[in-house]
Amino acid sequence: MKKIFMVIFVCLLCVSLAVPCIATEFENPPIVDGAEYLNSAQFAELSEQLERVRQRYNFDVAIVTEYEMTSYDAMSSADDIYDYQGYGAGVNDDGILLYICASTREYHITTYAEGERIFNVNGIEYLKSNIQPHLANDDYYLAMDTYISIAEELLQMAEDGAVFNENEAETSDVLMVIGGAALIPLLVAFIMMRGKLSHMKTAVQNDYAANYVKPGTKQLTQSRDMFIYSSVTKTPRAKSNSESHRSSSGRSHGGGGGSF
Amino acid sequence: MNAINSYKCPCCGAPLVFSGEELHCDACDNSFPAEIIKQISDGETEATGESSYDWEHYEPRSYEDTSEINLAGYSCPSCGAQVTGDDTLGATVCPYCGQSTIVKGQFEGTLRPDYIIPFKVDKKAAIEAFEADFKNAPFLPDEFKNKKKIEEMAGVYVPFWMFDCDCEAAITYNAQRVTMWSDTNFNYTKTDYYKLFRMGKVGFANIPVDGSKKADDAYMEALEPYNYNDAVNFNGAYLSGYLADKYDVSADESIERANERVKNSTVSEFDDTTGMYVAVYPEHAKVAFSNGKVRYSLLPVWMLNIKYLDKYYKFAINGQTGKVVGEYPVDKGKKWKYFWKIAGIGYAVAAVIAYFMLH
Repeated sequence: MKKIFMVIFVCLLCVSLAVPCIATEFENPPIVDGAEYLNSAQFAELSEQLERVRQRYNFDVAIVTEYEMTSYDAMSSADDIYDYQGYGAGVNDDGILLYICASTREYHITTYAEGERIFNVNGIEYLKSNIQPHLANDDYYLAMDTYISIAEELLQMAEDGAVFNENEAETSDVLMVIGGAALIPLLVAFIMMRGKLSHMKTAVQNDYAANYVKPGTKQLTQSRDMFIYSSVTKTPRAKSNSESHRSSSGRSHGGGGGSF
Repeated sequence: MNAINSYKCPCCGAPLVFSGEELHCDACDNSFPAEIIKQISDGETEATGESSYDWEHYEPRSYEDTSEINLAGYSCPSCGAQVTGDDTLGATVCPYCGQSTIVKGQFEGTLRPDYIIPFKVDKKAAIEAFEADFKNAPFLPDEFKNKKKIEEMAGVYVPFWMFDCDCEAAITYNAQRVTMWSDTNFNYTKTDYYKLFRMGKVGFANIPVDGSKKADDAYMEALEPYNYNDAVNFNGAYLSGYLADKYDVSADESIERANERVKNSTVSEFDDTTGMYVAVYPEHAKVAFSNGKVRYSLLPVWMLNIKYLDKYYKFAINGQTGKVVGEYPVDKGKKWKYFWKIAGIGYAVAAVIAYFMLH
């Protein structure tokens, strides 16, 4: 009996140890270079890097280039490729995809599910600022290599529990929040104390005589409201941490892009 | 184009010029229909200028008949207060200063009131009302609650001038209405500016103005309101057991305060008709008084002076309604303890909110 338990225990131990070693299967190759920006050596090298990152973080990191755009703009094209061609890892389809269109010289980075959180507005800006100069120089290999490196860097930060500049506030915002947190309680306490103090002095002048209006004597004989003019002011809306939008499939994507 | 100097731009005050069917302001580049500008100008003409007052002259009356009660004059050797009272009144501390016992003297039969509101709240009920009130005083020093002192409370009929009048008011206001909306990139705020004109009538009855220099005006006004349905023609018998002050501020001297309160209240009454705007600022107000009548009345007040740390704290209790007014001493320790308690709770809440805002 003891031997049977020992065999079962060893089998379970083997299975449990083997589980993390099973590689995640991704439906799509990490790079689809329709615009033919890369030579075969570059393609192989970047594919290998992407595959390593995908497996390491169980998170889809992919690149798609096209000569002609799939949809009407770069954002829709990137989203549609991601949604309809089965990109994403795990049950939630977590991932990020860099889309480049050669004919219009536009690019877009789309994020989905956990990708929206890890590659937040600040993360996307960080990515864009690093790859755009290379795209502008037509150095696509370097742009893609940078994209992979930064994606890995941000994924590692998220794994370490500190998502890249999540909710990063500007210095003025930080000072405003700290200043508010320091002063508002004092102000509230002062106002409440003044309120309580008003119970200590109730002998105050009454400048009105509303209690002495004779009932039924109030009569409005003329009333005119004359419109003079209008003014309209507009202020930019505060940007949220996630600039989500809906793709044609109805799914919510994050990301950003531009022209080069 | 002809300059029309009599009309000014309601936005910036610059002269308007006639252009087509509108009046145009070259300074701020706004245009207005001529009819609107005329209405605004007419309203301002109605509402500007001095308010007018029409009060009858009050002729003082004397105590020709003192058979109702045997009255005596009493004076305070400390503050000099002169009060009238039942000549059988026992030793009583001065109701105004509370510092010494008043001295009985000769009654001088002058200044008979028209009306009196008799005491409805007796001394026991007044003490209970005061005790209930100081329980609600949050920073009261514990040593202040001295029962013996509280019992030294004196019932006084305080002289008041009662004013009746009818008012006609013309008021102009600047008002704003705000609409807000947003699109993807911007928040928009549209402010519509209006000029309002209101004209109307309102009547007032029995507005009291304290006629005693010794009685603090703030205390007497804070004691209001009194219910004048209980007012009766004066009879000396109502003074039995109480003191009565006689006026030393004449009706003419009190009219200014009555005018002020009536004018404020008239404007305030018509403010109610501007509720559909988010911001309303009165611009001009002209009030014309008519049928102004003045009467002399005595109103019942319980007076109490409590000495604490070498300072007298005055309290007054409405002898008809039991309303308590006064100024309590403040225990600074209790006050700052409360402040830091609230601030501490505030800091805890602010820390949590700040954490979520910055992460």
